Amino acid sequence: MEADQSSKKIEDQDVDKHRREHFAQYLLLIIIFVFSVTIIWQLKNTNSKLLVITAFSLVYLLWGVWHHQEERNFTLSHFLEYLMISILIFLVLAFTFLPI
Amino acid sequence: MFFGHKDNLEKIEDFILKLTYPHEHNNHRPHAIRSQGVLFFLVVIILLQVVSNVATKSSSVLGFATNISETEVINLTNGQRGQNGLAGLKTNSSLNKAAALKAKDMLEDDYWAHFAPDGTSPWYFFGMVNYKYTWAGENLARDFATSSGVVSAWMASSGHRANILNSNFTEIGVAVVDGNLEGEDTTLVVQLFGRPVTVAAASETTSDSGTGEKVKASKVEANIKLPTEEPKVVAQTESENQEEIAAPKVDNSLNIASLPPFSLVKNATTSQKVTVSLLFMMFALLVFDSVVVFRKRHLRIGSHSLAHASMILLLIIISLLYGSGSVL
Repeated sequence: MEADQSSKKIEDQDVDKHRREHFAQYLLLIIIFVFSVTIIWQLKNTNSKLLVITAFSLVYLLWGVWHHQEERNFTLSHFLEYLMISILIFLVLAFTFLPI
Repeated sequence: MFFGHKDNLEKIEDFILKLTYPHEHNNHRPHAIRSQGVLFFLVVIILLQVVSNVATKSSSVLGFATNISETEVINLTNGQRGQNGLAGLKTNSSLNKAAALKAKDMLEDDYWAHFAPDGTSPWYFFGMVNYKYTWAGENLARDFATSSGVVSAWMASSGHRANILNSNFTEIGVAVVDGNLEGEDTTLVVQLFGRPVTVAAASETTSDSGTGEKVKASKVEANIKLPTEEPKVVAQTESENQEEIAAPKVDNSLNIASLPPFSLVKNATTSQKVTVSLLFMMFALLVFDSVVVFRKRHLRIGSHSLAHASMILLLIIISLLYGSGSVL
């Protein structure tokens, strides 16, 4: 009985740790996003804006790969999903900030 | 026939469930938010951008092109006056020309102000088109996406609002000019108000108001002060007669935060609205998926919808903020 309770406690601690790591990784992503958009807003040169938009889109893809590798469940389907969302991010930011 | 109809309904229901709801038949990952679903969504977003931009005759095929017209700005301005019990302003072609000259001057000399760096006042441009006035005013705007966005921002700023609702003005001229200002591609909107001398002379029996003659031909005018506290300033001319000139107080305090979200949507271009609607749909699907997976504690091979949802939410906010320019 006591062994059961102690293993449950360890399990809860693992879940907590997992959630904290998740939260930190999400927070990092949002900070990078807000930082990138702030930079884009300040920039006046179109090429520089394009560079930051491309960089952030790639960062999202890399973040996804890193995040799932940390979770040890990275697959090709993950890569494709993050790739598609990265392209979406690129498109919407380009629509907003670049004279297309 | 009836059973066939029922079968079809079941098929449609099954299809929608597979598309949107995580359950065992779609391996707990809705098809709409898989890579193929997002790819389809990307194609739709691009196609609808093209269609909406072509339909609204925007200046570009892709992207959130600005869609501001002089006529619409004038109509909306008169609409605001009408709502406040004031007579509408008559479009004056000379004022339109003066507004275009002012916009051209700002782009050529690269400044964003009522007064040029060399001291040229807004009233100089009235003189350039030989518009003789007793009352004159100027509102400026830049980086807006729509005419309603421009007029809403002016109405939200006390000085600009005072100009729009000034009963002394009888005529209006507007110019919308695209160009590069301070290193940035932008759309400038210049709105000029006036009351010509003839109108003043007819309405003021006691006046000796041939004062419109005071408009100077020289580039630099003296004794005209920049508005500071009050939106209306009095300008003294060399002939010592007084001519009232209304210019809005410099108002850079108008920021996006002061505008409620619904007005951002209202003032968005069609292509913006289309993109935001599609993004919101995707956001809702991702959040719904996250909630269902979290509540049912499904184990699945798939990425975290919450990460995608948070990115899409930020994209929605940014898309809505496009076209929230500044007024002066």
